[in-house]
Amino acid sequence: MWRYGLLLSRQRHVAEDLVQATCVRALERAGQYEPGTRMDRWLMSILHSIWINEVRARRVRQGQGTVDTDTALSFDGEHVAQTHVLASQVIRRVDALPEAQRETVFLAYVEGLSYREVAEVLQVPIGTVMSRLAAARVKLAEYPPLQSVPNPSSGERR
Amino acid sequence: MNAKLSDEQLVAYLDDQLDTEQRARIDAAIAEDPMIGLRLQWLDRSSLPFKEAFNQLNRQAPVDRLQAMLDTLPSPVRPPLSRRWFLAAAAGLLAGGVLADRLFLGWQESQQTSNWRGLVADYMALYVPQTLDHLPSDETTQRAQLQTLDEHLGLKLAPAQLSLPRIELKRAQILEYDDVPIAQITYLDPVHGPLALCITLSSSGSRQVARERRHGLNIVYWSDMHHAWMLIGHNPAAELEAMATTLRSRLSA
Repeated sequence: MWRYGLLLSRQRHVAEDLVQATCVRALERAGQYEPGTRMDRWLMSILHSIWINEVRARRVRQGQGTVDTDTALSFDGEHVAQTHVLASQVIRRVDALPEAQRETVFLAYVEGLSYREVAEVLQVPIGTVMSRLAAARVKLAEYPPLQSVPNPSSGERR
Repeated sequence: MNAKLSDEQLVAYLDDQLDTEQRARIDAAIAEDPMIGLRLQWLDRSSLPFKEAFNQLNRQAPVDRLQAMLDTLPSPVRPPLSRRWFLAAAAGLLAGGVLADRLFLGWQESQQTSNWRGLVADYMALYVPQTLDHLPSDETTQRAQLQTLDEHLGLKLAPAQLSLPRIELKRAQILEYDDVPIAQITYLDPVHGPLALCITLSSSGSRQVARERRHGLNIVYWSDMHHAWMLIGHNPAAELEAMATTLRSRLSA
């Protein structure tokens, strides 16, 4: 959940607040949870709606699509050293996608949800999920292959 | 008919999200038209090790803080004990809507010095003593935290300058909304609960200590040439002002 919050908000403290708000909201709505369904999917849909309706909606800057590279979802200085080079390349590429594509990629390819499940979490038609994934994959395909050794000329920071 | 397969269909094929019939149709189309096969190969370049990469990110999760947060949540198993907590948390969320509103939008619209105190007050109104449970409070941690504040706000803070009698310094952290940093140094008063010293950049000049009240919290605030300062808590205003005077003289020394 924290990871999903960070992916959406790109800020660590906002990610934590999102997780907390999600937990509180989930307890509040515990009666709406259908036993037998996946709890993590349910929590992710709550987190998504809190983000869309309560946090992001009020963030002017996010709407303008400008993201400071220092606040972007990435490995900050102290974590870089501990983190695998390949992983950081993948995360940077995902992070460069527009928000809707970014979270669709996250749910489908990181969390392993089916198209139908992604559509339910995001409350969008399945066709929208498909077009977002296709658009994201077209962009991701344009990058050079991942490099296990960082190449200073590639422009991708370690 | 199959000559133009959309990227959506090809991606769904790669993702194994098609039924047998749809798959067979695409297989046939690829056999018929090598261009489709090439397009599929091109799209497949985007099949990255997403799961593995993001698992690395999990290692950065603030597990301790999240766990501490979970510990403070009401447990549905013990309703009588947790009900009050639960209601408080729900109220906190309502306030949180207002908070987000002011912080994320209002901050950018108006950076007048009076406004930032309102933002901080909105934020601090959500704090309860349990918010500050489970925080590491050793000096090494705090020095590191203060150093982060120093870097963002051009300060030189030392734990000794910030200590207050009988009140424990719990955490120093940087908050940032729309590129404007606010330092928040949180204390826990055993009698009156959480209080905080907050600092932001300000060029409106030096100002003497003044008092105000927001959301039932007392605030004393002042500014110097480069920063605006405020101390906020449930302590009586006079007590808060005495603390502010102490802090101010130490910090300007």
